[in-house]
Amino acid sequence: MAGFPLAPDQNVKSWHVETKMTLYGDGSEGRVELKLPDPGESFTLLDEGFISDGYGFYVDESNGGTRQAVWTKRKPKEKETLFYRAVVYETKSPDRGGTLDDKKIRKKYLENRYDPRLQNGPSQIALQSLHQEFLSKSSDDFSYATAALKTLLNPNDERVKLIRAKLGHRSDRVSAATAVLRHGRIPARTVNLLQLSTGARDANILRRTEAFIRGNWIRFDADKAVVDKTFDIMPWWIGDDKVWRVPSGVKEIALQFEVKQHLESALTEAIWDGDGLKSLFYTSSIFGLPVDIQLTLQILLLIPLGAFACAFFKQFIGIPTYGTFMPVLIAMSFRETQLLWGITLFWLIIGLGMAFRAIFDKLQLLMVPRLSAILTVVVVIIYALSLFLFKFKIQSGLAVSLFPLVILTMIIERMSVTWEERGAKTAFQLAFNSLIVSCLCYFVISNPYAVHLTVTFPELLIVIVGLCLALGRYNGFKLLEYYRFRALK
Amino acid sequence: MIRAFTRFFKESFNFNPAAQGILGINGRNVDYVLRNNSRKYYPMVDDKLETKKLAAAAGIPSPEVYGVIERHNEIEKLSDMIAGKPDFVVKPSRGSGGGGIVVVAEYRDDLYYKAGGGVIQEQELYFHITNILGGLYSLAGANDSAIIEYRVEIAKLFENIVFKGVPDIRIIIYHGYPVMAMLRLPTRQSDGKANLHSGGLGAGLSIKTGQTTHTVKGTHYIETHPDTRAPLRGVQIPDWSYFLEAAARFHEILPLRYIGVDLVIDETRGPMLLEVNARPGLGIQIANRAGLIPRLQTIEALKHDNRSPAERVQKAQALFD
Repeated sequence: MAGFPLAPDQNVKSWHVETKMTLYGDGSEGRVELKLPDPGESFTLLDEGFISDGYGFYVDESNGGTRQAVWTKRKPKEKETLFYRAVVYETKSPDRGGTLDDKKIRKKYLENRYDPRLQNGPSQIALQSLHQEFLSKSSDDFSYATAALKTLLNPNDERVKLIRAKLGHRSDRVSAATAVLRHGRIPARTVNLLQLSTGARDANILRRTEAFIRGNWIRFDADKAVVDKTFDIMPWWIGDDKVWRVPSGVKEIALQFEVKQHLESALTEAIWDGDGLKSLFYTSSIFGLPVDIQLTLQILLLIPLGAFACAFFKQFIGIPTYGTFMPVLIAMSFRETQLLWGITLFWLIIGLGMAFRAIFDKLQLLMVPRLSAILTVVVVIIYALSLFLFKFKIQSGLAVSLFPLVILTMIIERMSVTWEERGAKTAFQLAFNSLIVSCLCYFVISNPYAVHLTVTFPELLIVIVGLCLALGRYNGFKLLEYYRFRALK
Repeated sequence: MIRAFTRFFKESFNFNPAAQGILGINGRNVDYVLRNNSRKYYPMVDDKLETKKLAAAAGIPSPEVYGVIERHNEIEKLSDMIAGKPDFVVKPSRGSGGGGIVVVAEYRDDLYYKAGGGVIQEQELYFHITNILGGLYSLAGANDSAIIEYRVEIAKLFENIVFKGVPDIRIIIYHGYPVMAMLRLPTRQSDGKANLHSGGLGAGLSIKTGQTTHTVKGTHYIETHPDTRAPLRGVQIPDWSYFLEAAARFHEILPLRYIGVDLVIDETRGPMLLEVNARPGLGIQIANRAGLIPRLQTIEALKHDNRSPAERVQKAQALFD
């Protein structure tokens, strides 16, 4: 269909980038400005689109080569959402070194090296004093930059306080670092970068200072005073100003950047061919939707695949588990938490939940209230785990909340009853089986080929229905029955 | 694809159960249960109170019901129900696989002595009934009722064989013909339950003679009972054709065509019906060292012959060992 490729290809990376701006108007005339990406030579902007929702909209290109989207509206509503979407792909340019013209860069960045906001007496003295201090501490541009960034981190330094105050309330440590480095005759600029990690629902704009040292742009993290080594980033906008600005009419604005690695270049080509028929196919496919809805639909499309895997394991292998479709749901949450974390958290939640169930059992409660109590305990456990993991910066922390609560509650209940009636061994055996099937389901639904095919060609769901029908008439033996009946050999 | 799988299984295990006529779960469900048992009649066998009515209609006694508890506020009526009875059984009406059954052998004050050993207090027994009512043991987790009924008295015949619990007889009936039978014996390990998966023994019963043949425990064969050392081969079920006929009579009153009928022998009251199963287990084939498929296929050819229950039993006894 529409020339979509059949295999996921990782040769050329391309990304869907979506900026979702949620505005809360204050009743007066509203104006929103968004700097549009100028990704430089390592990325190419393939296409972009705007959803303006009743706003007046234009792209302002008056400011020397840089572009800025401007939305205006006389009477903005209470809550409105604006979108900016772009497709970018990585241009392969491994040896960028030779293309940088030292002289041009020095001229461009040092000609007006004094920030107009720092052109007064006290700021000049502070800058001069800092400059002397950095010079005495350093032997070259690089050590000068490091010394400068370290000093800027000191919250008690009066000179730093003064400079940051003069730069205005919107400035941050990054703009201060850029100004100080330029003052010290090092070409420097502030860059706003977008993190391009795959599937990020809430990507970040990172602000960094870049200094031109020994023929290369070196990126510094001003908040840590170190060379920044973040990878998979795209320069969005170069300049001191923040990426977005809301001069009037808006009480509050929430910006959400979403990045989704695009399937591959061939797919992008298929989509952006400009062929009318193809774009009709495109707009009616999943790729025509906002990225957050795409991610949700992606999960939706994978559930039948997981369910088929469950049916397969049940009819062909015959592993007994707690609940027929429980492994699919557990596997879906493993997708968010990663496998090892998922397994650890599974046992942790089940273990704690069963301990509480044992306590509730002593109270001799009616069944439904008891299940509700266990469910509540599971929520508390997940809540506590999320906080704890987030606090210790373990990335999958928040993903724990995606564990299916009701399913976990039922596993706890059934495991406890099995334990009582058929012994701990059987109870654990079943839990272990359930986990094994969940892992196998996870491997099925996280397989890149499977994901690519089901998401790109949802019509394959018809094939899955067909396979389910075939499976439903399978009257042969299950693998485990060969073991069960082996005495009859 | 399916053939490829079957071939793969066969070759990797060097064992072809299909060639021996063994029925697997998928085969049972696709070829026999789905084809012969209409789901609308399941409530007749899933609910033990309904099954008791059927048994009465077929002229087969079943354990006397002392009372039924349907709501929480009725739990305290338990003492009235059991007044004057030395012992009793608490059963979920829609339970499966023997789950939720408590056999009380003796009770004094508020202490209840379980037949399997162990004592529980009145409050614990009430809590257990609460769980039954809440549907903890019922097939779909739906609300259930608890049956308080007569406790079967173990027949002298089995007293020397089993240590505790009551053995039962499972007969598979296909289109009214008995096709295979086994005697299920509880063990110490199975906690007095006769179900194979909880550690009970399965002894194959010859349809022709009503004598036990091979006995299986788990997946291997044994010759003597693990608790009592009593020999398990050649135990004769008295009045065997009565059992076969009782089970075969369900064909006339129950529109399910592939069923497992569970019967017990009470020392004073004789044979009784325990329950009827619409998806009888397949372990019976291991106990009989024979596959079900050839027998089921033999019956397929006879199923429209319009014989009476007694004639069907005779025919089956002539056909199957």
